[in-house]
Amino acid sequence: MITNNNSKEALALSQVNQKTSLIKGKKIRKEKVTENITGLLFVLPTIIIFVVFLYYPFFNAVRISFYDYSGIGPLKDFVGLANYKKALVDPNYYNALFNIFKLILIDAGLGISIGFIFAYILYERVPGWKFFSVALFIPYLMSMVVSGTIWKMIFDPTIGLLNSALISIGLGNLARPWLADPGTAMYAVAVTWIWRTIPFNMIIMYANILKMPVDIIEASKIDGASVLQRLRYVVIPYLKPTFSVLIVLTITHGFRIFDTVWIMTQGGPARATETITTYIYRKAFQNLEFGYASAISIIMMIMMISIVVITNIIKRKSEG
Amino acid sequence: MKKKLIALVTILVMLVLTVAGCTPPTPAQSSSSSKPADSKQESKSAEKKQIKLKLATFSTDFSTDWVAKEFMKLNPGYTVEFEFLPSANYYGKIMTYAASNEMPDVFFTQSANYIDHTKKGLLTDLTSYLDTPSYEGDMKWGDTFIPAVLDSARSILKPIQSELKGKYYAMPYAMTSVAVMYDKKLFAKVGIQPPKTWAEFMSNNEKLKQAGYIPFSLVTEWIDWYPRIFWDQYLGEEIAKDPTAFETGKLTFSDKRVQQGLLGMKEMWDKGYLNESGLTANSQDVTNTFIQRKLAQYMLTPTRLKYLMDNAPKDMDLATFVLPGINGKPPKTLGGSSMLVGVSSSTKEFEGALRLAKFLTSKTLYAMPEMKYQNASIKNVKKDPSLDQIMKGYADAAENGFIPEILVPAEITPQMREVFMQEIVPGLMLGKTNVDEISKKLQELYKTTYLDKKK
Repeated sequence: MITNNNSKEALALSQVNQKTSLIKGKKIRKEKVTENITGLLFVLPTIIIFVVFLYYPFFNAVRISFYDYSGIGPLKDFVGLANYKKALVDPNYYNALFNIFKLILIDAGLGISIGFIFAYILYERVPGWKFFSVALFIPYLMSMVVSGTIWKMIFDPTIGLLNSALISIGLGNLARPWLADPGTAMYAVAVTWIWRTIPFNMIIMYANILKMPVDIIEASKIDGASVLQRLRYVVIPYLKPTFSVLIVLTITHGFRIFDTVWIMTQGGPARATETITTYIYRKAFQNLEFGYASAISIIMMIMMISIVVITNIIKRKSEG
Repeated sequence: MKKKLIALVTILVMLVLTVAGCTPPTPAQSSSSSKPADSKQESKSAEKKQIKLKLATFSTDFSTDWVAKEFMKLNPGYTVEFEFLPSANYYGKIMTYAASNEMPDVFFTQSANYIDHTKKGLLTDLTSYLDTPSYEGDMKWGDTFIPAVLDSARSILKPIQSELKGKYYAMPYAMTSVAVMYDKKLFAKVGIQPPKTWAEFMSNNEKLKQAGYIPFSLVTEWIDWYPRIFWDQYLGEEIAKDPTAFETGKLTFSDKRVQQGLLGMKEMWDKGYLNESGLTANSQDVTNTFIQRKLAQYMLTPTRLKYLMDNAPKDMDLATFVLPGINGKPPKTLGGSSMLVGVSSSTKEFEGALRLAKFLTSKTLYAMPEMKYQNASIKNVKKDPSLDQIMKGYADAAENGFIPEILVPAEITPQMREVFMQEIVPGLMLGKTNVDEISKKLQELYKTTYLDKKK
């Protein structure tokens, strides 16, 4: 009897415990769901913006790329992959691509190295470093349109500052129509471009140099390393991850150049400064070939993603 | 509970801010008391409800919204949202509006784009409205226009006239012509006179070059002007007799006279008579070069005069002359009705839009001080006598008549125009291509982008 009663009590107790833990479990889950909903609601505006302004236009662009479309009316002339095939045999497309890669190489080479030199000079606290840390950043704060307009005036062959300066110091034979000469136009645009990217690279590298452990530098000084040796064997190896990030950013930014080119040369003379973005703009809004322009945009996107992925793989392998 | 409420309020605020950031700008509001419009009935009906219109233009006469404000001042009950875009970006924007069904109620158009906008059904057929009263209400709207300018407007649509049967889809805003501006004092200093013949013109260029000046202007957005002017000299009469010569194959782009038109410009370039920066410099840049007295002769339309006249040094004695014909014939001018005003076929306020279009081609508009440098497309507009020396060249140029907008069809489609302006002409100047390659390319493009699509 007593055993039976104990069993019954034990059973009742365990049932109560089960119910309690079930209720607790439900309560915990409910709290988690409530917390998640709150978090989801906070990110909802961003999700809406992404869907409306990014994902929907992207999928629409992919759809349009399979049509011959002038931009007005419904999509009706399905052409399949014809637009993509057209891009692959279009010499102007390859010209625009070549110009972009030229710009990226110049930016990666000069923009990052000059940015690094400035960052290191600031790190070494040269006299006036506080002033320079602000003054050198000013170009990055200016809009692309303003930068492009200023440099266009500087490069003007008749009334521009550059030719006037060259003539005044006896180098008049070097004066030329910088933006109208196919041999120099792209480099002139590149100068304007890196004038803006150098401050950005400088600030990123300066911030990373400042994070460098002081004892490493102290140790190298104690070991008798000169400034150049410290730079070569301590600072640069430390900044390798920063360099690789900046290279990826240089590539992705370079692919998107538009306003600088449009303001300065509009892709001329004779397409010497035509980039993928200006070419897409022309095809879409001047030639009314929206299907073709969309196809080029998709190809460009795939190219950018591939480059970023390959760069990351190389980076991981070198770190590994 | 309190946490949830704060979260909800924050989210709502963010959503509202996002939506507010996406709303279009409020249109310019009329700031002063209104003067009753001449057409009282239209005005009264407008007063009963606010009529909202959108106007888009690339004409530098309207680089600010003064015309919208004037219209609203004179027409109570109207609200006009105004948009100006430089021509390089204007048509792209118009196509964006068309794609999103948000066409401006009244918009400017031109040349191959006018043909394109008409073919795509973006413009209202205004033919029957030419018999309605003008803006002032004193005569028929159609009768206010200079006949030659009206003909010029109709001729733009010649390539598709068989479908349109003489209709008007846009009306000429101004009588555009081109003339060469120069400084009389500079000419006197170099010892030259305005040329009467092509030989004199080239001789003047050489003297100016020797004196250290850039002889003649080249502007990237007008890079097609010289071939078009020269083609009229070599082929104008023949094409006037047979406008379908290129369609039927009677004339092709390989014709020596077509090539001559291009080579005429090439000769000027090779001799150093054109500003090298012109391959990328826009009209603003070239105007600055002229104002700085580096450029001796500047070929431009009246729409660019205001900036030049406002900024030119006071000691410049400016005048204009007509560019002599390269082939010795009386030189016709580019322009005519090169800028047209149309009413959108999708406007929801047709009467209001029509009124605005009439205003843009009215004596009332042309009497305004901001329009003093523009040649009117309408009759009986008095000009300020102090501007005679400047405007004489433009008037003389118009007297010989207008070169059809599409004579040699090198720019008859947007695709051809883009290749012609961006590749062909600059490439020829830079020696990257030759006239035989150009002829072949143009013929191929003409076939693929125009003739094949016409079938």
